[in-house]
Amino acid sequence: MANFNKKTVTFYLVLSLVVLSLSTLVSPLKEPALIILKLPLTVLSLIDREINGIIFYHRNYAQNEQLRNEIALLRQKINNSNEVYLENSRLKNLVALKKDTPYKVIVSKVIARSPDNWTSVVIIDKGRHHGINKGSVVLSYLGLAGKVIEAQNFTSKVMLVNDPNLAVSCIDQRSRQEGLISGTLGNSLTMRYLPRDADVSVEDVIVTSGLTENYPKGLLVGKIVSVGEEFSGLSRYAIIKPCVNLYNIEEVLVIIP
Amino acid sequence: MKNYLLFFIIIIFACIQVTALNYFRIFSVKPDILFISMVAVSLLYSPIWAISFSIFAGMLKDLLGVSAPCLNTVLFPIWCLIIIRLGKKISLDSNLARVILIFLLIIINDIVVRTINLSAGSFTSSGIFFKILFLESIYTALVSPLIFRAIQHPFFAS
Repeated sequence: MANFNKKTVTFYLVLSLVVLSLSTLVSPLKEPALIILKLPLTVLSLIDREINGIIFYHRNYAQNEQLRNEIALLRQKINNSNEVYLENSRLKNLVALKKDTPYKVIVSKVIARSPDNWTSVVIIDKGRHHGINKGSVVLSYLGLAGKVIEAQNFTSKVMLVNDPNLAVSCIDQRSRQEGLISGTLGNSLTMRYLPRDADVSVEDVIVTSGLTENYPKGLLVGKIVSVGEEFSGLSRYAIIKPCVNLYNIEEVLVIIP
Repeated sequence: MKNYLLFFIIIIFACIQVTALNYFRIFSVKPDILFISMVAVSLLYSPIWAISFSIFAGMLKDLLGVSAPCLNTVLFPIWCLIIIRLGKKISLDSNLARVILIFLLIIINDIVVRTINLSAGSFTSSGIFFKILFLESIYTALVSPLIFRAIQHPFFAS
């Protein structure tokens, strides 16, 4: 139990009285005190806000840096995944074609392209050792790509259909009109030797006729984008957009005997 | 002179020519950096080394391409000899002179190549020929200062 003596009780009583009397005084003092303190408080709150801002900025800056790094890493991962996904889908298409096609084919990767601008040639990573010979027909899963013109043991050179030195007999799938396709070293092919009254029109599908040696009948070549008349006026020609993107071809199928 | 290192540089140029340079095609035409390197070595190196590098660059071009047999292996050293002779008569030290030289040489080279290819049975229509001739000569000439800078890098100098 607490031991209260006279002195202590008196002290507490006096203290209570002082507090009570001051509390009556505080209310009228409140307003002028606040008016006086308003400016320093405002300044202090501003400083506090600024300090908070600086701390916040630094914390966010560091967090931002970290997030940026994470984004860069994730972007890299997404790019890698996309690349794998695209390769996977291309290979799936090739495998599907390999299963569906009646020909014996082998899959090969394009490793280089011609060093000059006068030919449209690619080098593939398979050669005689894998059964490829000069003259073998090369496909992409979208259609005809070209022909092997040189076969080494482990590599081969493939002349693409957009090379002017490669000519393939083709037919219009709708009208069965025959013509000879050759390249322009660009993004299009030309179908020549069409008679003046040839039944060919834009959007017609062009396929191989099977008349050129080694080329099986019915391989998709492309679509007609325009039809014109030769300078001599004796025959017509058709410009064809190849179904295969010959500039970005990465994997091919080679028909082997 | 670390001349032998230039063989590796020419191999790297050849690899770039058949791979990465395809992404820099303009209207399906890319610059011929092997040709530029041949001109660069002809102007910057002693005749023996220049001819050796030219033959090597020509061989690589023939190896990776499908032109008439040994066409570039023979043509490159011929151009090299002509450039060496020309370099003795006129000053080819400025970038502009080199760009003009490459522009003209590409035109002459393409005409010679086309003539030889025609006689070998490889046909290119006149329209396509002039388009490629025009674009290739300009594009190659414009790119040439970069190749010159690479070959003149202090790393290859003594």
